[in-house]
Amino acid sequence: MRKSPWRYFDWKLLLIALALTVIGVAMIYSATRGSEDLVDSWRKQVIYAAVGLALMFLTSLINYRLLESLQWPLYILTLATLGLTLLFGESEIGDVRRFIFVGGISIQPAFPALLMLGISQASLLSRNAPNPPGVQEFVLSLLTSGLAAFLVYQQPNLSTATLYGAVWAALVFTSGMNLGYLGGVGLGGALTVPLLLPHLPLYMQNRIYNFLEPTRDPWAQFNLDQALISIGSGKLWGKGFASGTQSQLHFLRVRHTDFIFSVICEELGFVGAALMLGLFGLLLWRLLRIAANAGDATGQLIVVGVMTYIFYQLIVNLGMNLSLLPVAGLPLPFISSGGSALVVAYIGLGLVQSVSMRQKPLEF
Amino acid sequence: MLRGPESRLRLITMLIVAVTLLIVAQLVRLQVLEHANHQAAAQELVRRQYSLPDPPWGCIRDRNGDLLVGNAPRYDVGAEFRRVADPAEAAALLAPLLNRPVVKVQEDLTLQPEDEEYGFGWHLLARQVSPETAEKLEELWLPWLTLTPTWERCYAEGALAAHILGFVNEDGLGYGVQAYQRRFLQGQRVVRVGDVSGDAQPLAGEVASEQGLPYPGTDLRLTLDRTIQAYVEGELDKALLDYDAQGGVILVLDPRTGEILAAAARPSYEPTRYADYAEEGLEALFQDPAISQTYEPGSVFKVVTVAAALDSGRADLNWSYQDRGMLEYGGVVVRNWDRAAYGQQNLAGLLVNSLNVGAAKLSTQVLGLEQFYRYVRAFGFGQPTGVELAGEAAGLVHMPLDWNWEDSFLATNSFGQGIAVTPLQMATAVAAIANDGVMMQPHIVAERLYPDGRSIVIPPRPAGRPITAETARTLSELLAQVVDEMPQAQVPGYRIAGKTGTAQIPGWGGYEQDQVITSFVGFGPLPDPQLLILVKLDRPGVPVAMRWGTQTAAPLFQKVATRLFVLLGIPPAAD
Repeated sequence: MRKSPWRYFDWKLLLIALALTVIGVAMIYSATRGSEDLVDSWRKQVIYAAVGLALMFLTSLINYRLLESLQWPLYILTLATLGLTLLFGESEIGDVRRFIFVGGISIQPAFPALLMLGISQASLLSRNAPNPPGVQEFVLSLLTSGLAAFLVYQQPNLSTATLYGAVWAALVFTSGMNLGYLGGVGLGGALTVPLLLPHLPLYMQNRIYNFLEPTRDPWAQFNLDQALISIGSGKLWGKGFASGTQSQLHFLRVRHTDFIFSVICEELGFVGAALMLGLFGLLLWRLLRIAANAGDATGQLIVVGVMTYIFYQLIVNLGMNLSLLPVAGLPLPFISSGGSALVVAYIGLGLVQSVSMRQKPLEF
Repeated sequence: MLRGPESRLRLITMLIVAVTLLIVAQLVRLQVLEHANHQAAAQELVRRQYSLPDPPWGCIRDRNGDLLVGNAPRYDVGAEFRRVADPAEAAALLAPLLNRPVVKVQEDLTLQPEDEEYGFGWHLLARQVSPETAEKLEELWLPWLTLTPTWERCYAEGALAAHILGFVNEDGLGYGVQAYQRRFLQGQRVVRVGDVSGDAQPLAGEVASEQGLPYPGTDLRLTLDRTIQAYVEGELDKALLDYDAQGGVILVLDPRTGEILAAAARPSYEPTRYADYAEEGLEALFQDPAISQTYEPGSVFKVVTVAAALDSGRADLNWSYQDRGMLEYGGVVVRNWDRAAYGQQNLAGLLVNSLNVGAAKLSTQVLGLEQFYRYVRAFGFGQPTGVELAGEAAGLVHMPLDWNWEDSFLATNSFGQGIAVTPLQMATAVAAIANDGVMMQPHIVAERLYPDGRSIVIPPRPAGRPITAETARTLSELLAQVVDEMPQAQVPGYRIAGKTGTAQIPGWGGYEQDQVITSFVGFGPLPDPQLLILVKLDRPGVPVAMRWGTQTAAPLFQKVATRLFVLLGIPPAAD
């Protein structure tokens, strides 16, 4: 009897992601209902979620082992995507080549490119399986990932470049690589940061210095203070949905995207924020389970890559909202308003489902 | 240790969990432990001082209700320049709309050292742009651009009555009736503490719940007549060309009420463009020659001297003196205008022939210091008339106890030399003679119309009674005899009383050579004068022999009076 391919489809994972998306849509509605030009954001988010969902099912149907064999074409596609972004990218703010506009919709190609790079790296690092990768794989992955991250940095986009670094480090670490290599790169990186800092674009330097010394630029500090006030004044139970003074009265800027967590904290309180974190905890639990049950090393690494992709963004975004980290324009996964980020996150889940559906059989 | 992927995965998980715990800890700190501070901060942010858009100033209308000054909606354009990503590009976009050089706009969109110092985040880009421009600016969708609604004063008749209407600048200072009546004209701005949004806009419920919305300014109805004003200004302009004069004044008063029907003054300016004049350093043009500038009235002032002599009882129509063509007093020699001796003369002869010697005789020998200056003060010289116009000059009358008093002043002042008066003071004083000795305070505001529908009519106010009705009538008759002998000032069908004056212009170290101010003050029709007209021409450039009041100011008076009797519907006397 032929087994249904949906047997190992992780419905719980999907439900958790949908719950997060619903929270996102509701909070986007709350955060934008007073602004004329943004009132449609929540409707758009619903449409993007539907598109993402469809692409997730589509991706899950692709056997990831097929993608594995496409390691180098995928890598070349990654470079091409990032290269084209550098050539034709646009942005509302000055000389930044970060978005590509397709039919009035802005896409940030660095996110889908990272998924492709992740698959390519996963197959590279697992080619000696079940033995751990050696120095050859390490150097190759360092160079290929490094080149892609450099192209992103050139947009310029430091926070997404660090996301590339995080995904790479997680993959290399999980692959069972000799820790000495990773430690060496980590140490080398830590030592070169003070040397590189003065050569970063000015806005990046400013964000880092502003974080270290908040009184440096009162104007830049303004929204961070507004975020802290929003979060703190939410207290245990929050001010109620669509009732936060900070967000509803427009004291908090970019409240539907980068600072949506502050809106959640203000309107739903500590309880609401904790529930949201609980959902992310469940998400992490499902991802770890699928990684543990993955049919092979490549599948496991793909799941780890997606997991890092989601949780690095989560941590950086929350860290910024809570003034624990410098300002970085990474969205809150599944929740922040923004089409391409949401769609790519669902495609990432599709890859995870692809691995889950082809896991090693536990039953006979 | 740490060989298998599973254990390493567990380590990554532990890292994520640890960081999440850190985040939860921060959440607990902010939302549970320190929430009081943040809650207070949030409330403080919402509760702030705000001001509602400024209400318009009151309109100004003429005596018949025709609009002279109104308001047009405008917008002040500003920028939260710290949010501007590319000042050069934004400046290129905005400059043509704001009608400003690109470089200047770009400068305003860029952080300046003083902004850094004081923490400024906003610059004004342009004041008072039109609603059409504001609409175009809004269509640019620049989130950092601010448009503040405001009003612009609009002068319905352009430069008409510029000095009377005046203006008020951004600092609340200005000229004319607008500056003087600012407390009525300016609406009440509402500034209070309440709930505002992050864009500093008061919340809808907040505005509606409080009583006391911005209170618009009070409208003013002036005593001015738009038609007469336009006519008189036209005549003055023509006269300045005809006589090649550098400036001039025509005042039209109703002597019975003190109402100013028209006040033309040159040189003048355009009130809408006052800022341009100020930039060019032409602030002197804002001074109203009719009330803010003084001149030596010359022979017109003999009216006051004769009034004092008659009213004090020291002289009557039978009084006469022997005119020898000169009189020496206090170290100066007084001579007649033509240096001739006129022989036996009475008061009528003194005025008709405009004899300096006779006037000095009256002040020095008949009246004396005390009597003469009592009447000068009683006619209001040396003090502002109190007209509702900003910047009125008091004039200058030397008094015997002044530190710079000279004995000769008693003699020279009697024919209007060594004394400084404003045209309005002179007109007001002569109007007392036309009004049976009751001097009415000149006034320009006829009625205040409050926005709630109330209105207050400003009644005529007597400013004093310098002479008795009998003296006034006698003197009127004498002044009518002056015009009877002066065809240049006569108006057929109307009996006019009046007096010319030709005064030298005091300068540094004496009087200017051949430069004069000619004037004529007349009223009519006798016996019940309804109109007083003062005409003054500065430095007429006609041949020196023609530079007399009789040749310049009197014909202008005649022209204006003839027309105004018709315009005002004053019937001629039946012969």
